[in-house]
Amino acid sequence: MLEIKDLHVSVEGVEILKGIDLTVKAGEVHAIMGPNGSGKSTLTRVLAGHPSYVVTRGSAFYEGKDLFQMVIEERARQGVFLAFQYPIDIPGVNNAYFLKAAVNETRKARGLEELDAMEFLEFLKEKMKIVEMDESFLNRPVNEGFSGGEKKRNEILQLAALGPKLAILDETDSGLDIDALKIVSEGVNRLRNPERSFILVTHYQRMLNYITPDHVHVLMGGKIVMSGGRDLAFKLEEKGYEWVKPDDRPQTED
Amino acid sequence: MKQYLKTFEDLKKTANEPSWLLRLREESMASFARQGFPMLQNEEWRYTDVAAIRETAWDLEPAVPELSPETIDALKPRSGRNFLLVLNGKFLREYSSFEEGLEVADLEGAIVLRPDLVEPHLGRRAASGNNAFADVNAGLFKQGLFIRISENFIAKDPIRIVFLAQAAKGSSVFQVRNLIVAGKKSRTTIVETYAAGNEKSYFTNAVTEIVLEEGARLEHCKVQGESSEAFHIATTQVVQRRGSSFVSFALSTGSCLMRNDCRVALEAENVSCELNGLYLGDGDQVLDHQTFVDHQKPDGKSGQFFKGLLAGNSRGVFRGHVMVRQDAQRTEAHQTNKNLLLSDTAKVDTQPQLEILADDVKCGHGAAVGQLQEDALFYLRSRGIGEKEAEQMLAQGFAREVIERSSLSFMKETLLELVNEKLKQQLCSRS
Repeated sequence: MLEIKDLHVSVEGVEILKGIDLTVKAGEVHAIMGPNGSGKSTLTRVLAGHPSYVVTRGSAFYEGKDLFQMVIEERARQGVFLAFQYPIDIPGVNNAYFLKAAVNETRKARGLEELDAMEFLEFLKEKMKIVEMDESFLNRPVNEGFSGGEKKRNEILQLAALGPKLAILDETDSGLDIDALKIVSEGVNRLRNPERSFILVTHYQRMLNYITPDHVHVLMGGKIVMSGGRDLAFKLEEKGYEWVKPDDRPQTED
Repeated sequence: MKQYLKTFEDLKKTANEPSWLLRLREESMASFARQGFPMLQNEEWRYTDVAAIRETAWDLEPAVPELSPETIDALKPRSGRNFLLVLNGKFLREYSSFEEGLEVADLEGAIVLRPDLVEPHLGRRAASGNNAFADVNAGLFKQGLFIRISENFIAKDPIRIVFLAQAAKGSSVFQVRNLIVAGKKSRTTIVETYAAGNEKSYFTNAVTEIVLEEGARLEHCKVQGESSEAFHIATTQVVQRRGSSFVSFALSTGSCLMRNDCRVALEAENVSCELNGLYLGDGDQVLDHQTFVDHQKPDGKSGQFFKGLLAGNSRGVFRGHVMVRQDAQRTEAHQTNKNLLLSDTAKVDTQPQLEILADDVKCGHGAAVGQLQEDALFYLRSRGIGEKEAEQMLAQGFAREVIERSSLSFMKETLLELVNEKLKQQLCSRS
């Protein structure tokens, strides 16, 4: 599904990622953990194609295709989805209108018929159940005036509607109270399937109480310094990130 | 200038007009002769250069051509019984229709037949001695439109007026003159649309005077969709009596150079006025909006909300002047102007001006100029929406706010359609 090799990324001339190797197979859930400033968000944004992030070395292949040769919207249409840590307000653009445009663009790319207004509403209502969102959200401008929890649920609703093959969640758990965290996590669990892979980026392991990852990686100083199974997350929770020395060479815990 | 003064002398010889009108014309032309057309040194015109108008030898007395039935059909609105057609400044009664309760006539006729209604208002404020274009209009207009809305009358449909410019040859100037008197407690909506019948160059010089009697409510929408070869200079002078409310929306998309002066005199207590505007420019367009909201008496409210989207080498200007006179206690006046630049070469000048002489008032203003946000574009594109579509969506969202916020409910869909059409052109020229 995704194969990242020796990835180096800079922002405004400063190198943030210093050689990432990561392989994600279909249906797997990978958690990437690490302290603030370790480069977690950079990794998610460069995969989605944010123009401020420059790849200086290395590669990322998605379903055998060079991801960095694809423009932002093309990646999305091919099934790469990023749930933003800070979803952007789009004033004056109605949520339903935005979602319909996005869904129909991806449908077109997959050779499917576009949905008309009625069909889309039916389709969306089903998806809204997954994140327990009520219909009033649809007529509000995208993310404008949404609470932190509402924004994150809106991200997962988009995930559900767009049905990507590779979903990257950037600190989706941050800023959520325990109820919202449950709803969001439950939503993700319902969206798991053997063809869909997830990369969950998170600072804390609390989301992993609800979503069981297949692999856990520790990202520090722009490198993956440790990889392991679910237990690694518990250990990190218990001992803190100091326990992993950033200078350590990549190693396997188990 | 000579040409204008000579035309006026000729007009005087042939016109058989009441003495009050002749006096108005004399005074206006004398004022014009003193000051001439404005230069950039003139504070009120510092952002907009009218050299192209000043230096063109205009045909000051263009003919009014025959219109084909197809042309007229194409202009008629899809619904509503009130449609008024003005061609090259002349009101065409035979192609117009309106509901009972409205008195509609050509202004030249009303001057003779209804002097009681026309004389007290015509040119009383618009030709205020500091507006050369309004002066020329007062001196040289030959035709116009007169609308009187009866007391207590509530119009069922909006009054849609199309001002069609159809120049027989290039460089024609059309003096458009309108007088609208909204009777006590009447409620009406008026939509003025300016459009061109062909691609020849012309100059629309319009003056619209609006009087709102006590308790009247008037919604006024002006759609300036002139051809790209046109100059459009317009003054809208509004007078508000006690308890009246005026809501306006100016959508400006057309012409190569436009200047819209909207002047509102809140002459009595408890008056409210809401001015909204949206200007969308591309190519080398210059779109200039000026407002003057004059609070003269206590307990008035005014709100102004203008937005601009500028692409290519286009320029936008917004100068909003709010005056709160000493008498006008407990005035609430707000003004906002926001602009989005869609290219590196587009420009905007925004200048709010509050002049407050009363001490118990609530006033505020704000202005902003920005560009499409990179993060917002990234967000939309990361959902599979193409770059162009994402830009269009953001720009549309920006424009939508002013339309949604205005109290003109019935026009919203039409305005959005017009905006989307123009936005496509603007964004095409972007890459």
